[in-house]
Amino acid sequence: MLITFVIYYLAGNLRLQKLILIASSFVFYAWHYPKLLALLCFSILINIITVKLIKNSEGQRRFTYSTLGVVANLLILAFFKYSPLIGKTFFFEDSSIGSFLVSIPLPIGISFFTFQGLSLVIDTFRNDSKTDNLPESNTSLVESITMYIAFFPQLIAGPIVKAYEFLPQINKKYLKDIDWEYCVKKLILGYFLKMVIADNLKDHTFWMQYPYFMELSGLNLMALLFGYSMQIFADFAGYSSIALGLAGLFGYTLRENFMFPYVSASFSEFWRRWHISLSTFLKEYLYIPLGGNRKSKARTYLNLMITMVLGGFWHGAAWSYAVWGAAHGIALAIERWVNDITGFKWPKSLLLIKILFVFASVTLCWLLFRLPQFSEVILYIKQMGSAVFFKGMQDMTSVFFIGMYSLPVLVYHLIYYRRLKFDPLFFKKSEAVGYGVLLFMILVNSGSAGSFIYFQF
Amino acid sequence: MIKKVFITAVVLLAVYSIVLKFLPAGLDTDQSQYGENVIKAQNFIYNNRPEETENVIVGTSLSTRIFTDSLGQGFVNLAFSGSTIWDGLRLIKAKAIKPKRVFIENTFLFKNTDYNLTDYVTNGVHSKLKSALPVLLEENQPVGVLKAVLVNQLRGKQNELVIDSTAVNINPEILEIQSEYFVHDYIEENYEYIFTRRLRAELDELLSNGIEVILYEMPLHPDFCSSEVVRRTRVECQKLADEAGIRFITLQNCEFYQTNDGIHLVEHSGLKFTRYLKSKI
Repeated sequence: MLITFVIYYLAGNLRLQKLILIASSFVFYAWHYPKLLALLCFSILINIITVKLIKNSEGQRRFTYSTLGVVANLLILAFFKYSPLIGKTFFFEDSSIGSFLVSIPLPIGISFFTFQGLSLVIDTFRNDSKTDNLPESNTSLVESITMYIAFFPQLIAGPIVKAYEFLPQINKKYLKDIDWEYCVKKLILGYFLKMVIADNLKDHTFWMQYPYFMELSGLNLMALLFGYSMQIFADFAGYSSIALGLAGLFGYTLRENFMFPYVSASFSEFWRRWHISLSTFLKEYLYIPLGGNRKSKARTYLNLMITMVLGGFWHGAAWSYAVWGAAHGIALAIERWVNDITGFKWPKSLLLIKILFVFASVTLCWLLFRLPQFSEVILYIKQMGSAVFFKGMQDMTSVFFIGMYSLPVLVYHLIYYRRLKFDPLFFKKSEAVGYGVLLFMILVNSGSAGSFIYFQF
Repeated sequence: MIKKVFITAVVLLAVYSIVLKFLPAGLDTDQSQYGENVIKAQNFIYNNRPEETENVIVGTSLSTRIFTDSLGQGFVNLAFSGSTIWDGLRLIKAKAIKPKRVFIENTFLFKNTDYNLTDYVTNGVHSKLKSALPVLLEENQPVGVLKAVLVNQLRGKQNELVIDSTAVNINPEILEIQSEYFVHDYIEENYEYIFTRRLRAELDELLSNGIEVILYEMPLHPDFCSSEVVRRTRVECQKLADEAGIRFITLQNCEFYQTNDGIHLVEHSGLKFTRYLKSKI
């Protein structure tokens, strides 16, 4: 990383900078499984060819090529990500087809880089050669597309960067232009969320697995579910923050991926604050093309459902992810329906209740992420109600640690509220001390290293 | 701003190092199962007083139920929950000061390890840093220290720790899952490889360093004690012990002990087994 940074800024021109970033991104991606690099290169190649064909054609052909590009990207994703699910669902696992489909490995980051490929193809189709931000020369085009898809800070777990956001930024970068304060803050916050919060909570939420949770008290089960909600936020928001900081060091600005999601007072607000790069992607490239809210009300609800179920499936090749998406889709549709028929405006005094309701619902849905089997999810919920509520000192310890590691996430969200109501100068002045404390905690209180949850998607 | 951030962190580090000096010794600061393993491993690796590491127990989570302090002076328990004896043996190899006696548990010899724990404690820049700067050690993590201080405060108001001796009802589903280890998972294992090569190689290395080695059995649920896997393991261990000229502490009366899940002893049984082990050494 340090070597890449130094030679990147020593490089005399844009082309060299692009090549250095591409090479380092390839090394980063191939580090553990070099063979998977071939798939990334294949995906990039498909998109380069598609973009070139779209740019060189007119009318119906343009549409045909872009459709083929979208289908090719989706086929790659479907083959590598969903073959095991198809194998398990429709074939006997010991049949030759079934065992072949189940054995196909899931390449890390495939959901992210194929979505970026889709964005590139669609944006190229939607724009003409003057507005597509793509260079005309073949060499430069290949380099720019490769860099856009393989850019290492966001390659394996996002944020999903849209082509129209990234491509205009490809120009010569200078060391003097780095916003050091922004980058350091993003990196410290990201590493704190990941290493101190998520990695420590992970060692506690480990016990949410079947059959371990069968032995726990009702209090412990609730605390663990709450802790997992905090963990998944800290894990993913942490990675996104690190990605933003790293990209900033190389002169690129990525969009914020999280905006204090747990203060949301509605499900639609939650999706404007959680994994923003995915929700805006789904909105721009799926919900709106489906008709969005421009058709009938019933069609709007259906579009919401389709978008969320597919969004759920994007997260993983298991039916539980589809159920998770459907649950959010239903919540969004009901919320919209209630607003449509009643136009009811909630009094401000009930805001906290709404926030708590949305948080509780979202947290309950995370069970579908944590437990692979739907039956285990049901069992967990049943256990929360039927198990002995308090079993002694072990419960206290568990609640203490989950509380302690969740506290910073709660404070983080609280700061957002305070900022809205109080003098921002106060926060500006105490910011350095705050980040100093976070750095101190990274040094002395990091948990055991664990993979980022979103790597599996 | 950046300068202020780093200065704040350094000042906090210095202040916290001083605070640690004033804390009572022997605080139980572990926060999780893995954290407890790391603290145990670090305390062993970074301990430079040979008299405190003369006797080392190497085991799985089953041996965490042994009351190590009751065995006498100089005992260290390298029993790791969720891990294996192979981690403990690797730690002994990595440490320059060797123990006089090593006790090796014989359950789950077929279970493999990824050596993440031992690698974390013995390799890399961070382990060197931690050996030099105690403030960075896992046992000194502020959240764990806070828990320990609070628990100490609470315990101070109570009497001595009471060991509950009431009977335990084991969840049948848990028992069924645990039985998989003994009925299915290890029945087809390569016993020859484990006993004539892998474990034998470890024993030979320990013996060549002048270390006395003792194999021992942990009590299990009576059904598991009489399983094919446990019986065969016992026979192979005895054979290995005879060949290598070492002792093997066997156990014939599993029904005298209680577990909470078929394999892990409840506290009063842990104490009973500790007394038994002590009488044999």
